[in-house]
Amino acid sequence: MSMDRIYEEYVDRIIKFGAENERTRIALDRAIDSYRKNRANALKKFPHTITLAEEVRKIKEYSISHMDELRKSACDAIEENHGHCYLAKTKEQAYSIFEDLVGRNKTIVKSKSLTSEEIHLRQFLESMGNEVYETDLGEFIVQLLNTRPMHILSPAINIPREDVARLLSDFTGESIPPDIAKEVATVRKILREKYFKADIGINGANVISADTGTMFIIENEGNARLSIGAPPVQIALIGIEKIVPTLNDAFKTAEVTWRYANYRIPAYVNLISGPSKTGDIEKVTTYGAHGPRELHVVFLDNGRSEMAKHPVYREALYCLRCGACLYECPVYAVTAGHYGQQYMGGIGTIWDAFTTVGFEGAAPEAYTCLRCGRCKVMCPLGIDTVTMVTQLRKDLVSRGLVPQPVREFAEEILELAKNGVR
Amino acid sequence: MKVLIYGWGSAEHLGITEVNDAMTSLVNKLGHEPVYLDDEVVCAEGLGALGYGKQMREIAPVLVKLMENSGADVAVTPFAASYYVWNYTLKDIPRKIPVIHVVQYLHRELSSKRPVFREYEKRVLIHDGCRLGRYSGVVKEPRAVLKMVPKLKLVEFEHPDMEARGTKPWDIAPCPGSWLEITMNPLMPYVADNVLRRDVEPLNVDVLTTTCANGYHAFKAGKEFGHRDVEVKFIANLVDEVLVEVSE
Ligand code: SF4
Ligand code: SF4
Repeated sequence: MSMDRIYEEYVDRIIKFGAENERTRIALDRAIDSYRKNRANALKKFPHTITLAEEVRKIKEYSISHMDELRKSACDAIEENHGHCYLAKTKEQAYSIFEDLVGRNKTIVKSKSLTSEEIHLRQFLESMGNEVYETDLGEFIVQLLNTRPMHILSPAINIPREDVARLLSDFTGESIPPDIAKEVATVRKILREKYFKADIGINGANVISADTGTMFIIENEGNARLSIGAPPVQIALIGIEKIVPTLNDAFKTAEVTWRYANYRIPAYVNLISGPSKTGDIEKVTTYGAHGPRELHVVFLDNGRSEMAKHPVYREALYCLRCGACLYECPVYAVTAGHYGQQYMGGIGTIWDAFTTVGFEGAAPEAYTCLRCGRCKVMCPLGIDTVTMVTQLRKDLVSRGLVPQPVREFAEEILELAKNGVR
Repeated sequence: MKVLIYGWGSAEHLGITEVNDAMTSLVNKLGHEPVYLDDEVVCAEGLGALGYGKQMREIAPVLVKLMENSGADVAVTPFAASYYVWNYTLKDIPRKIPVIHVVQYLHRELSSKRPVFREYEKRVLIHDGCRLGRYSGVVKEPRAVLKMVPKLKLVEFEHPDMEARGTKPWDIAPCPGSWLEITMNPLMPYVADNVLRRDVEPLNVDVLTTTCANGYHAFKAGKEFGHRDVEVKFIANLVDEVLVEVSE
């Protein structure tokens, strides 16, 4: 598809499904107001988070400069803990690893992970004849809608309760009222039995420590806990940028992530370093006591090493995926995740360029950003999205990938300047 | 003193000629001579923001020559981006003529003279253009000017984060999507209208005034699109409306 066609389709989508959609507006309004208040209260109660975030920025700077080394250490630690570790340099390599580990006709429960969205892991596993259930409530709604997440943490942020009720009524064949508590109870009932029937649980991680191989999974619902704990096999897909040197660094990173993600304190922080084991009988270590007997950790590169090499774009790898910037972006406030191709918002534009749709696909997003810088002010790590978007625009110009209206505007100015006339 | 009203053509291009009128009127009231460019490369400073930074740099000397040939002592711009580009991005390009923002010009002139203002009994919300407030720190001047106006009640943007993180009104001032005019035109009125609805209307103000002519253009489009009641004014227009006369 030509650049201009990609741009046109993107603009049609962002207007039709985002800006023009009154229901998206209603749902976003509710979510943004509640997020802002909750985060401010959380920061007031735990004011140390602001300086802790500065420390985490340094941890991330170090980690991204030592990504390969840390990945090797993390793999050593995971293997020592009796887990298995893999490196997928590309999406295709990740598919092949999952194909070997999962096989066909399995039941899989999956917890929320943007990294798995990045490579469309669920769709890939389904195409191999597996039955896959997204267990995060928002992701489950997104799965039923057959669409894609609209926020880093709240995938169904754009769906008001009235629409959720209709969706669940269709799915269950019962009449579910637009009452959030009843909707939650319905999803709980649907998914509960799946955890114990499942052959495999798949998860992502918010951060993982290289020294102990311990992954942190922050959640409120308890679905990650169940999908990690109940099935006999656990597979984690983790971006290589999530590795930090020590367990202590991981704790710090996790705390800043959850605080800015709007959890004063999350209901659950799952720490997993290996498969389930017991030594209760004669001190003989036996795997698969109550939890999974196998743990597989797949580290995904998929463009991250390229990003890390670039002096400007590497900052995108510091992102904790707390979602704070999205709640503050004036464009996101009317478009939700339609401002984006796979990832979303200004920060997502850089991620899309390197990991999902390439520079050409990310070009319309690059020209959606207002370069207003409000996201940087609100980001716990002060990530400078504007500078990265500006760099991306420069690269798009040099690669001849600028969308038509911008290109024509610029050409006109350059022509005028050449002739020195108004 | 000769004052070059810089960005005249850009304001015309955006259909906000009232900004040019107010700028001219203010320069006259302040006892200076307004001058204009013979030729103007409209919106040239926009190039860098669009990814054409190298090309902008190449044509910068042409723009400097145009400014200097005007014979003006100072160039005054209503555009936040223009101020930013000349004072930061292209700071190293040799240039004899200073480029200042109209709020700096007004602040300097009005605080060293004796202005007479009409009373303005309205609640006025100040909006800092991103490149002027957040990026350049020009935040005291527009507030000081508005505070000179009798009965004007100055209102600031609010955000729950201000208490928790100490962010300031200019840190959180929401952009109405001005650049979308060029980069994604159909989206601009939605963004601007939403800012008016979400961030401005709850503050219960009579007037929203912005320090950026580009932002003013977007707010104006958003107001029209969403049929919003709040009055939207570029800061120079508001000041021109209430400034009766100035004596030395
Ligand atoms: S700079 Fe771009 S991504 Fe950041 S808040 Fe502004 S419009 Fe949104
Ligand atoms: S860029 Fe910053 S605010 Fe946005 S998701 Fe990443 S860490 Fe959070």
